[in-house]
Amino acid sequence: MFKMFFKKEQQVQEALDEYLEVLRSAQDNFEKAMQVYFDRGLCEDFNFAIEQTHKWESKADDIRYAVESLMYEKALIPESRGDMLGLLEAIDDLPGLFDRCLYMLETQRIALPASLQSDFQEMISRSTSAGLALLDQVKSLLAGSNDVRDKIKLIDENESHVDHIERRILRAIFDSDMEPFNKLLVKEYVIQLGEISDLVEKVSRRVYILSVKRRV
Amino acid sequence: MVSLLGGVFLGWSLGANDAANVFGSAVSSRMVKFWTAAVLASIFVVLGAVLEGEAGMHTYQGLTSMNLRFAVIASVAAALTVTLMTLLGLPVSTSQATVGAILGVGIMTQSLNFAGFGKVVSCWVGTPIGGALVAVILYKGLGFFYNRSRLSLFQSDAVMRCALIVAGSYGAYALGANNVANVTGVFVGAGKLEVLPAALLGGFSITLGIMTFSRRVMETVGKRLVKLDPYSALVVVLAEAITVHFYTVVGVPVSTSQAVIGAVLGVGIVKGANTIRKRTLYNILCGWMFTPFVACLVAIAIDFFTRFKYVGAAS
Repeated sequence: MFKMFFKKEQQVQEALDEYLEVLRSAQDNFEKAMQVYFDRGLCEDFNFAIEQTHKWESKADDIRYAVESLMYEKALIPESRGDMLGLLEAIDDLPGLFDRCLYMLETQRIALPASLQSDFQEMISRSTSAGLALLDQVKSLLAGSNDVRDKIKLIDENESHVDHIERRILRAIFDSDMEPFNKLLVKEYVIQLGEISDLVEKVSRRVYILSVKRRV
Repeated sequence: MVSLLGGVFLGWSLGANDAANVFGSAVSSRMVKFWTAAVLASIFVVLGAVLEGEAGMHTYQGLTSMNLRFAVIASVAAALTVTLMTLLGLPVSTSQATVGAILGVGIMTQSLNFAGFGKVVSCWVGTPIGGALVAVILYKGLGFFYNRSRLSLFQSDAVMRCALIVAGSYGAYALGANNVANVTGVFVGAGKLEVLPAALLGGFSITLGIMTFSRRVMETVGKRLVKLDPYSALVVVLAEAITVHFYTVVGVPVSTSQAVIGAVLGVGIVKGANTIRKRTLYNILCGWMFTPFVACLVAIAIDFFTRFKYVGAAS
């Protein structure tokens, strides 16, 4: 019966579910693209994976704009609307970051040292685990579940681990006999990769606050 | 018919100002369209006036004995007081203005029912206190169930929106039932109107105020309530409605604004936040003391001046 009376809310819910799925696809694609890079370096398949990630990023933008318009058409209580719009804006930086990380490799022709490949892979794997936990956390918020707080713990652990690996890689780079210019390029790239988990952690804090706010 | 104009004006003023207390938060936050709120409020105000407005009218009837002339004086005095104090930017309650005017008439006719006035004044004091108490109980009680409900964000918002409409409609019902006596109660006391026509005339006068002039008041007053979170705003509207309805059953017209202030205070107590400024509490106190006093003086003045007779110019 509710569905009949609250069509707009239902539409927004469906659009948000779709948005989260697109974010998941963008992240999966990013992970795949990085694997292609580690396996075969800059190649046609890598370029294809970049394009795919970019498409997911654009699709995420489109859905976000659709959700925003639906919300402005008076779906949700104004306070919830403001909270959700703020959250969407914050989380929407994530696919952009995936996009940027891949384009950096491609446009700047960065060569990540093979000796540090396992560290990079672990960094990416930890970052995407945190990203997946964030998507689950947002779903829990929308569903009104009580496990929003539990997800923060998982995200925090992954974020700390990424920070630790980031410092380890940076130390290794500057201890190595790489060209100074390459060192700077790789450093920039490592910092950019590290931003993924930082952003995830920041957004997950916001999700937690929103869930606390909704409790009486 | 002209004799009823003071009452109709009071009803219009009530509708224009007090509808904001029941639908203000929903309208100003754009959760409900103004016209939906106005139509719902109008229907429930008339329903409340017709179904439960009688008790308040009998209370006013028992405060003093009056004929039609005094009923008109009381009604015009209350209307003038409300207008004057509104123009001066002073806090004013229609119920308190009406009782003050009846007090003035009672003094002139030397037929005051002190026990009746005592009951009315104690209910005025009890209104904000009752509002606060009901708000505390509602906040805790409803919160217990709200926190345990497994509603999604969208479902809980939809429920909140529905609840605000239901609470607003109930508030409008309580407003009509409680305050209709202010509008036409004195005419029932004077024998000019029967209860049902008085309730209908009073209810429709309030409706006129809602339809013609409540929009801006709803948006400005409502925005103050919207500063509360949606759940607190719902508790405030519901607490106000229950408190005012309680006094309807007791048979004493009270101020809906003061019930709202009490309810906001109650929510503040539960949340440990200071939701009411000292100035607001001072305004309530002023309302209790100043409004009846001014209305009483105005009623006496009108009676005094209407007794003058034109004796013609000396030739």
